[in-house]
Amino acid sequence: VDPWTESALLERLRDGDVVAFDAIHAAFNRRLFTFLLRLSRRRDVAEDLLEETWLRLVKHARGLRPDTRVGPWLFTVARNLYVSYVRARLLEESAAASLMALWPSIPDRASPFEEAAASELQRRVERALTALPATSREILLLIAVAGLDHSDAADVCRITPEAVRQRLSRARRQLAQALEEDERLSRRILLEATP
Amino acid sequence: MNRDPMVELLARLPQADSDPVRSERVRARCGAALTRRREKTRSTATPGLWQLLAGLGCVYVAELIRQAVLLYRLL
Repeated sequence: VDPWTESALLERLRDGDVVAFDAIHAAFNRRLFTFLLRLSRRRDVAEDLLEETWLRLVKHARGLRPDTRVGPWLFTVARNLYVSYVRARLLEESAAASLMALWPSIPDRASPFEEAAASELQRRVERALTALPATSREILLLIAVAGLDHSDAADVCRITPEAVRQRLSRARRQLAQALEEDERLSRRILLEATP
Repeated sequence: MNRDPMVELLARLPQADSDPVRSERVRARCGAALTRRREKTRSTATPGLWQLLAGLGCVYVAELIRQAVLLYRLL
Protein backbone atom coordinates (compact mmCIF):
# COMPACT_ATOMS: atom_id res chain seq x y z
CA VAL A 1 0.00 0.00 0.00
CA ASP A 2 1.56 3.31 -1.05
CA PRO A 3 1.59 6.11 1.55
CA TRP A 4 -1.06 8.18 -0.27
CA THR A 5 -3.52 5.30 -0.43
CA GLU A 6 -2.67 4.35 3.13
CA SER A 7 -3.43 7.88 4.29
CA ALA A 8 -6.74 8.00 2.38
CA LEU A 9 -7.77 4.62 3.76
CA LEU A 10 -6.93 5.72 7.28
CA GLU A 11 -9.06 8.83 6.93
CA ARG A 12 -12.03 6.74 5.83
CA LEU A 13 -11.39 4.17 8.52
CA ARG A 14 -11.48 6.89 11.17
CA ASP A 15 -15.00 7.69 9.95
CA GLY A 16 -15.95 4.03 10.38
CA ASP A 17 -15.85 3.08 6.70
CA VAL A 18 -16.10 -0.72 6.46
CA VAL A 19 -14.83 -0.78 2.86
CA ALA A 20 -11.65 1.00 3.96
CA PHE A 21 -11.21 -1.56 6.73
CA ASP A 22 -11.64 -4.40 4.24
CA ALA A 23 -8.97 -2.87 1.98
CA ILE A 24 -6.53 -2.57 4.89
CA HIS A 25 -7.36 -6.10 5.99
CA ALA A 26 -6.73 -7.44 2.49
CA ALA A 27 -3.43 -5.56 2.24
CA PHE A 28 -1.94 -6.55 5.58
CA ASN A 29 -3.61 -9.73 6.87
CA ARG A 30 -1.23 -12.15 5.17
CA ARG A 31 1.92 -10.21 6.05
CA LEU A 32 0.83 -9.81 9.65
CA PHE A 33 0.03 -13.50 9.97
CA THR A 34 3.35 -14.49 8.43
CA PHE A 35 5.16 -12.15 10.83
CA LEU A 36 3.32 -13.51 13.88
CA LEU A 37 3.68 -17.12 12.79
CA ARG A 38 7.42 -16.76 12.26
CA LEU A 39 7.75 -15.05 15.65
CA SER A 40 5.66 -17.49 17.63
CA ARG A 41 6.13 -20.61 15.48
CA ARG A 42 2.66 -21.66 16.58
CA ARG A 43 -0.31 -21.38 14.28
CA ASP A 44 -2.90 -21.17 17.08
CA VAL A 45 -0.97 -18.38 18.84
CA ALA A 46 -0.46 -16.48 15.58
CA GLU A 47 -4.18 -16.75 14.76
CA ASP A 48 -5.17 -15.43 18.21
CA LEU A 49 -2.72 -12.53 18.06
CA LEU A 50 -3.79 -11.66 14.53
CA GLU A 51 -7.44 -11.48 15.57
CA GLU A 52 -6.57 -9.26 18.53
CA THR A 53 -4.50 -6.98 16.27
CA TRP A 54 -7.50 -6.33 13.99
CA LEU A 55 -9.82 -5.78 16.94
CA ARG A 56 -7.37 -3.22 18.33
CA LEU A 57 -7.37 -1.38 15.03
CA VAL A 58 -11.16 -1.12 15.08
CA LYS A 59 -11.14 -0.08 18.73
CA HIS A 60 -8.58 2.67 18.22
CA ALA A 61 -9.49 3.70 14.65
CA ARG A 62 -11.23 6.95 15.60
CA GLY A 63 -8.39 8.04 17.85
CA LEU A 64 -5.62 7.53 15.29
CA ARG A 65 -3.83 10.67 14.19
CA PRO A 66 -4.24 11.58 10.49
CA ASP A 67 -0.49 11.08 9.90
CA THR A 68 -0.47 7.57 11.37
CA ARG A 69 1.04 4.94 9.07
CA VAL A 70 -1.33 1.97 9.20
CA GLY A 71 1.26 -0.69 8.31
CA PRO A 72 3.83 0.14 10.98
CA TRP A 73 0.99 0.72 13.47
CA LEU A 74 -0.36 -2.79 12.83
CA PHE A 75 3.08 -4.39 13.11
CA THR A 76 3.72 -2.48 16.34
CA VAL A 77 0.47 -3.76 17.85
CA ALA A 78 1.17 -7.31 16.64
CA ARG A 79 4.67 -7.23 18.09
CA ASN A 80 3.47 -5.80 21.42
CA LEU A 81 0.77 -8.45 21.64
CA TYR A 82 3.40 -11.11 21.06
CA VAL A 83 5.61 -9.64 23.79
CA SER A 84 2.59 -9.62 26.14
CA TYR A 85 1.87 -13.22 25.24
CA VAL A 86 5.45 -14.23 26.03
CA ARG A 87 5.33 -12.25 29.26
CA ALA A 88 2.09 -14.00 30.29
CA ARG A 89 3.67 -17.35 29.50
CA LEU A 90 6.69 -16.33 31.53
CA LEU A 91 4.47 -15.64 34.54
CA GLU A 92 2.59 -18.87 34.01
CA GLU A 93 5.71 -20.94 33.93
CA SER A 94 7.26 -18.96 36.82
CA ALA A 95 10.54 -19.01 35.02
CA ALA A 96 13.37 -16.96 36.41
CA ALA A 97 15.05 -16.26 33.11
CA SER A 98 14.72 -12.89 31.46
CA LEU A 99 11.96 -12.17 29.00
CA MET A 100 14.21 -12.18 25.98
CA ALA A 101 15.92 -15.37 27.03
CA LEU A 102 12.56 -17.07 27.18
CA TRP A 103 11.65 -16.11 23.64
CA PRO A 104 11.77 -19.39 21.81
CA SER A 105 15.10 -19.53 20.08
CA ILE A 106 15.82 -23.19 19.51
CA PRO A 107 12.99 -25.07 17.89
CA ASP A 108 12.23 -28.50 19.28
CA ARG A 109 10.41 -29.42 16.08
CA ALA A 110 10.11 -28.16 12.54
CA SER A 111 8.21 -24.89 12.21
CA PRO A 112 5.12 -24.80 9.96
CA PHE A 113 7.18 -22.88 7.40
CA GLU A 114 9.98 -25.39 7.53
CA GLU A 115 7.53 -28.20 6.85
CA ALA A 116 5.99 -26.31 3.95
CA ALA A 117 9.18 -24.96 2.42
CA ALA A 118 9.42 -26.07 -1.18
CA SER A 119 13.15 -26.16 -1.76
CA GLU A 120 16.07 -27.41 0.26
CA LEU A 121 17.50 -23.89 0.38
CA GLN A 122 14.23 -22.52 1.72
CA ARG A 123 14.13 -25.28 4.31
CA ARG A 124 17.65 -24.40 5.41
CA VAL A 125 16.85 -20.68 5.59
CA GLU A 126 13.70 -21.39 7.61
CA ARG A 127 15.69 -23.59 9.97
CA ALA A 128 18.41 -20.97 10.37
CA LEU A 129 15.85 -18.21 10.88
CA THR A 130 14.02 -20.04 13.65
CA ALA A 131 17.32 -20.70 15.42
CA LEU A 132 18.20 -16.99 15.63
CA PRO A 133 17.81 -14.97 18.84
CA ALA A 134 14.42 -13.25 19.05
CA THR A 135 15.67 -9.70 18.46
CA SER A 136 17.59 -10.76 15.34
CA ARG A 137 14.69 -12.78 13.99
CA GLU A 138 12.31 -9.93 14.62
CA ILE A 139 14.35 -7.32 12.76
CA LEU A 140 14.89 -9.63 9.78
CA LEU A 141 11.17 -10.42 9.64
CA LEU A 142 10.16 -6.76 9.78
CA ILE A 143 12.58 -5.58 7.10
CA ALA A 144 13.13 -8.51 4.80
CA VAL A 145 9.83 -10.33 5.05
CA ALA A 146 7.25 -7.67 6.02
CA GLY A 147 8.98 -5.09 3.82
CA LEU A 148 9.17 -2.22 6.31
CA ASP A 149 11.90 0.38 5.87
CA HIS A 150 14.46 1.09 8.61
CA SER A 151 12.53 4.03 9.98
CA ASP A 152 9.24 2.10 10.27
CA ALA A 153 11.01 -0.90 11.78
CA ALA A 154 12.61 1.44 14.32
CA ASP A 155 9.15 2.72 15.29
CA VAL A 156 7.83 -0.81 15.65
CA CYS A 157 10.71 -1.92 17.88
CA ARG A 158 10.92 1.44 19.66
CA ILE A 159 14.58 1.86 18.86
CA THR A 160 16.52 4.33 16.75
CA PRO A 161 17.09 3.76 13.00
CA GLU A 162 20.80 3.49 13.79
CA ALA A 163 20.06 0.68 16.26
CA VAL A 164 17.98 -0.99 13.54
CA ARG A 165 20.95 -0.88 11.17
CA GLN A 166 23.20 -2.40 13.83
CA ARG A 167 20.67 -5.12 14.70
CA LEU A 168 20.10 -5.91 11.05
CA SER A 169 23.80 -6.17 10.37
CA ARG A 170 24.26 -8.49 13.37
CA ALA A 171 21.22 -10.55 12.37
CA ARG A 172 22.55 -10.98 8.83
CA ARG A 173 25.88 -12.20 10.17
CA GLN A 174 24.13 -14.62 12.53
CA LEU A 175 21.93 -15.94 9.75
CA ALA A 176 24.87 -16.43 7.43
CA GLN A 177 26.74 -18.21 10.20
CA ALA A 178 23.72 -20.43 10.96
CA LEU A 179 23.43 -21.31 7.28
CA GLU A 180 27.12 -22.20 7.06
CA GLU A 181 26.87 -24.39 10.15
CA ASP A 182 23.79 -26.06 8.73
CA GLU A 183 25.62 -26.77 5.48
CA ARG A 184 28.66 -28.13 7.32
CA LEU A 185 26.41 -30.41 9.35
CA SER A 186 24.61 -31.63 6.23
CA ARG A 187 27.94 -32.39 4.55
CA ARG A 188 29.19 -34.31 7.57
CA ILE A 189 25.99 -36.36 7.75
CA LEU A 190 26.28 -37.08 4.02
CA LEU A 191 29.93 -38.14 4.37
CA GLU A 192 29.18 -40.37 7.35
CA ALA A 193 26.27 -41.95 5.52
CA THR A 194 28.37 -42.66 2.43
CA PRO A 195 30.00 -46.13 2.61
CA MET B 1 17.16 0.83 1.28
CA ASN B 2 20.02 -1.61 0.95
CA ARG B 3 18.79 -4.98 -0.23
CA ASP B 4 21.65 -7.41 0.15
CA PRO B 5 21.41 -11.03 -1.03
CA MET B 6 20.56 -12.27 2.46
CA VAL B 7 17.61 -9.90 2.75
CA GLU B 8 16.52 -10.80 -0.79
CA LEU B 9 16.68 -14.47 0.12
CA LEU B 10 14.44 -13.88 3.12
CA ALA B 11 12.06 -11.73 1.09
CA ARG B 12 11.49 -14.68 -1.24
CA LEU B 13 10.43 -17.01 1.57
CA PRO B 14 6.83 -18.16 1.28
CA GLN B 15 4.13 -16.28 3.13
CA ALA B 16 1.51 -18.03 5.22
CA ASP B 17 -2.26 -17.80 5.07
CA SER B 18 -4.35 -17.69 8.20
CA ASP B 19 -7.40 -19.91 8.53
CA PRO B 20 -9.78 -18.42 5.91
CA VAL B 21 -12.93 -19.18 7.91
CA ARG B 22 -11.60 -17.53 11.03
CA SER B 23 -10.14 -14.68 9.03
CA GLU B 24 -13.51 -13.98 7.44
CA ARG B 25 -15.20 -14.15 10.83
CA VAL B 26 -12.76 -11.61 12.26
CA ARG B 27 -13.20 -9.33 9.25
CA ALA B 28 -17.00 -9.49 9.59
CA ARG B 29 -16.80 -8.86 13.33
CA CYS B 30 -14.63 -5.81 12.81
CA GLY B 31 -16.93 -4.55 10.07
CA ALA B 32 -19.95 -4.94 12.35
CA ALA B 33 -18.15 -3.07 15.15
CA LEU B 34 -17.29 -0.21 12.79
CA THR B 35 -20.90 -0.02 11.54
CA ARG B 36 -22.24 0.01 15.11
CA ARG B 37 -19.85 2.79 16.02
CA ARG B 38 -20.78 4.80 12.96
CA GLU B 39 -24.49 4.50 13.74
CA LYS B 40 -23.86 5.41 17.35
CA THR B 41 -21.96 8.52 16.25
CA ARG B 42 -24.85 9.52 14.00
CA SER B 43 -27.44 8.97 16.74
CA THR B 44 -25.40 11.00 19.20
CA ALA B 45 -25.15 13.77 16.62
CA THR B 46 -28.95 13.88 16.18
CA PRO B 47 -29.74 15.05 19.77
CA GLY B 48 -27.82 18.23 18.94
CA LEU B 49 -30.51 19.07 16.41
CA TRP B 50 -33.25 18.29 18.92
CA GLN B 51 -31.56 20.51 21.50
CA LEU B 52 -31.51 23.36 18.99
CA LEU B 53 -35.20 22.90 18.19
CA ALA B 54 -36.06 22.75 21.90
CA GLY B 55 -34.09 25.95 22.48
CA LEU B 56 -35.90 27.75 19.68
CA GLY B 57 -39.20 26.49 21.10
CA CYS B 58 -38.32 27.91 24.51
CA VAL B 59 -37.45 31.28 22.97
CA TYR B 60 -40.76 31.24 21.11
CA VAL B 61 -42.77 30.42 24.25
CA ALA B 62 -40.88 33.05 26.28
CA GLU B 63 -41.62 35.66 23.63
CA LEU B 64 -45.26 34.55 23.59
CA ILE B 65 -45.48 35.04 27.37
CA ARG B 66 -43.79 38.44 27.13
CA GLN B 67 -46.20 39.55 24.48
CA ALA B 68 -49.12 38.34 26.59
CA VAL B 69 -47.84 40.25 29.64
CA LEU B 70 -47.41 43.37 27.55
CA LEU B 71 -50.88 42.93 26.23
CA TYR B 72 -52.27 42.38 29.75
CA ARG B 73 -50.55 45.57 30.99
CA LEU B 74 -51.94 47.46 28.04
CA LEU B 75 -55.38 46.22 28.90
